[in-house]
Amino acid sequence: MENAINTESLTKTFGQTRALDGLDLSVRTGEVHGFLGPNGAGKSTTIRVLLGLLRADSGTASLLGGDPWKDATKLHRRLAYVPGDVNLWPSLSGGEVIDLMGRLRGGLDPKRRADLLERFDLDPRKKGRTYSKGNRQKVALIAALASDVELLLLDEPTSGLDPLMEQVFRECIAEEHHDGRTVLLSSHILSEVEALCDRVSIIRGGRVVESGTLAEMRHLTRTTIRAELSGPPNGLSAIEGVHDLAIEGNTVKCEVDSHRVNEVLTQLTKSGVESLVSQPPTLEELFMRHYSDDISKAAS
Amino acid sequence: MNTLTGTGKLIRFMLRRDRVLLPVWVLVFAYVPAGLVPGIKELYPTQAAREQIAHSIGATPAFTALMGPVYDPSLGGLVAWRGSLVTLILGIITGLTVIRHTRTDEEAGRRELIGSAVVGRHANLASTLIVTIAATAVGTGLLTAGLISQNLDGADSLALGLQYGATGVVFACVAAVCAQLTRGAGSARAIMFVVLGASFLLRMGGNLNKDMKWMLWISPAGWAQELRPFADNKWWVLWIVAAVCVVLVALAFVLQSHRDIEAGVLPTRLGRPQASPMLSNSFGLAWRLQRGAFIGWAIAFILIGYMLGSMGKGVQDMLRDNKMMTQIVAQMGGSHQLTSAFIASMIGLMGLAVTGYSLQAAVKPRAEENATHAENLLATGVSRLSWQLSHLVFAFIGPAVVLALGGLAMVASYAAVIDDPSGAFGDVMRGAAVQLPAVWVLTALAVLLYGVLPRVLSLVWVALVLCLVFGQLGSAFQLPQWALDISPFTHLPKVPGHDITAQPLLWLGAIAIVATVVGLGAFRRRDITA
Repeated sequence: MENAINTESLTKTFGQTRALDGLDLSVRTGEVHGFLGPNGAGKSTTIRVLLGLLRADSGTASLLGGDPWKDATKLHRRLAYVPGDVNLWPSLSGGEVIDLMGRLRGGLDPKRRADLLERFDLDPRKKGRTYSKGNRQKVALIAALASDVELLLLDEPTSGLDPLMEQVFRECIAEEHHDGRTVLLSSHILSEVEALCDRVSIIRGGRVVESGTLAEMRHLTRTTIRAELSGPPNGLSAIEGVHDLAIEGNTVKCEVDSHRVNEVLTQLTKSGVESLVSQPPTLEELFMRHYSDDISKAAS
Repeated sequence: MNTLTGTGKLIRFMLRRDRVLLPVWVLVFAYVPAGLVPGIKELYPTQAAREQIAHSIGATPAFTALMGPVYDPSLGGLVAWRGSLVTLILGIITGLTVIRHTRTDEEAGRRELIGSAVVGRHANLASTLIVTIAATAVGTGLLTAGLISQNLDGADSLALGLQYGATGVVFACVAAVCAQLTRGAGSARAIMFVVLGASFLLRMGGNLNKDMKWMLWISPAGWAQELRPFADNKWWVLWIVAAVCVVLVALAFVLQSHRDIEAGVLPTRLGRPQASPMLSNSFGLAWRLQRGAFIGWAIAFILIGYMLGSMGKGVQDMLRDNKMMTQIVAQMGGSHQLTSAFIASMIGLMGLAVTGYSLQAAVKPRAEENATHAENLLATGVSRLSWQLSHLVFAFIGPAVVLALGGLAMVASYAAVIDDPSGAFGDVMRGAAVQLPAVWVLTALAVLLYGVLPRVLSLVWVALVLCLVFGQLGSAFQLPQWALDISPFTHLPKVPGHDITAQPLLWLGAIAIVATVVGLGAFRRRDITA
């Protein structure tokens, strides 16, 4: 079994809104998979279909080799879910919620529970209604991370966490990864995804528009090059794949399609290079490229 | 910025939020007394007929206990008497309205959002009270006008209107205090219901026992009764009501000044750092979430049952004092029949009340779903069916246990005061048992709606109110029999006093089972919403 999660042409409509529009997603066993998209792109809907909370209108989905709708209960013992907006029972303490959720899944590792409580700096005696948003999030995270499961479904799990706790979270996910657990991390915090994920799927309008490793994705995009030359540059505009070329005296700035970098460098050395800065595209740039349509639409 | 800044804007906002609900309850209450007039006129057309019915009401402790004495055997006097339970329902509605706009909003974090704008600390409480009291005042005015339009005396009609209005306003003020006490809206509502129940029980005690008249004067329900519209029109009673309201409102504002937002006056304690072994499955969790309501209702029913049972003595005393009544009763089938009828009608009322508990337990899954708790649980190894059944145990078995405890308490006090206690246990328990199929029909309606149309689940409360209104006022409104037959409680045999007829009970049971099964099946197939 190679894929922990596999969906094909998944669709789901709520009234007039098409939340999922033929979604194909695959998450390999043992990887940390980033699930990127802005609010309303369909990330939570996908996860809720995978949890058997929503029934897809059409398409197929498999989770840990089972059917997420029919085998829901059986599959849920092997996974843990953290929602983006955690609501605790007002009358239960954080410690009680952690234990309850762990027992309802496959069981809880008491040593790991104690360790996580300390690392996340959480008082388990407080009642649900008295926790702040960040602390509620911690309760759900500890409950999930201390559970003995194969798959973690995390839906924007760090919303409300401070930077220190965000760091603890990253360490924990790295440990989970090391232990061979599969993680689906839905997020719109790009640095988090960039730091943690092996592969990334970008979702837009209920459809996955890009999927692959960050390296693969970078290859499809442009590198920013900034160079100071000994003499005036020439011939650069003739190379295919050079964009946004800006020349100021002996200084050159441009963006280059990744597979054309070699040609550009050859051309630059002809004029003599004094200094060179080359930047791979950040995930943010990848992301913005996919959403630039939306942004320009929103601006107009 | 003073502490009331923004009150005007919040009033408009509140009217916008309640634009449907508010006019509905105001109009319904304005309509009830005037709507009773034609029926009573037709049933008792002559003064002699009215005096006769007033006399037999006075001789029936069950009626006196629940609705007070008939202070004047006139048309208006009977209208006032007949509607006296409805005044308390108005109190429940105004109280719930106040809590909904104060503590419920605060618990959900909405008050924080509003409080960050240019809005004073007390603006929310002030605007809530203004809207609720103003709505009650409008209802009072309409109600009075409705009675005058039926050719009743103006001053008397106003007194009757104020009897309703005063009850509504008092409980709005009580709720304003309750909303300050606890962090959760549920506990605030519970405290309000305890106050309301206590004031009703005090009025009952004061009405039944001449030596305990003082009880009427420490009960808001008692004050409203002592206004005596169409008899004495004791206007000065309203001064007590007004004074108490002023004190309550002042208290609410003081409490609010001395607490933090989203905090209560009563302290929140720390919980256990680890879950007990009990909390390992969905039933353990359901018990944690439902036990408060279950224990509360059980205690309330034990108290009410004990109190109602002890009234059996009042019935017998009234008979001993009155030779003529003894003769009449003997012709009706003996004193045993009369006490049986009393017990049967009291158990009938308990059956309706316990339905309130059953529905409270049955709609809990919806609240859990709305709060996304269901989503988190159903993402674990808990199946939908077992999750729902964990709560439904309380909705189906809970009322049976609560009713049995109330019945046992009733037997304990009732058997001690009647002449022949041997049959008391069987009488009361049979009477309580026959209530259950009707209770379960409404519970099953909740399960059905939850599975099929969860968005309109709160209609079950409308159904309960209809059963209450049909049962208490249906014949006075001269509703046709088919309308009365909609209520499952109409079909129950009056036990003790009549034989148990199996057929209606079996029908009700079958309806309950079918609706439950369909509802459970539909829930397994639908999306979990949040």
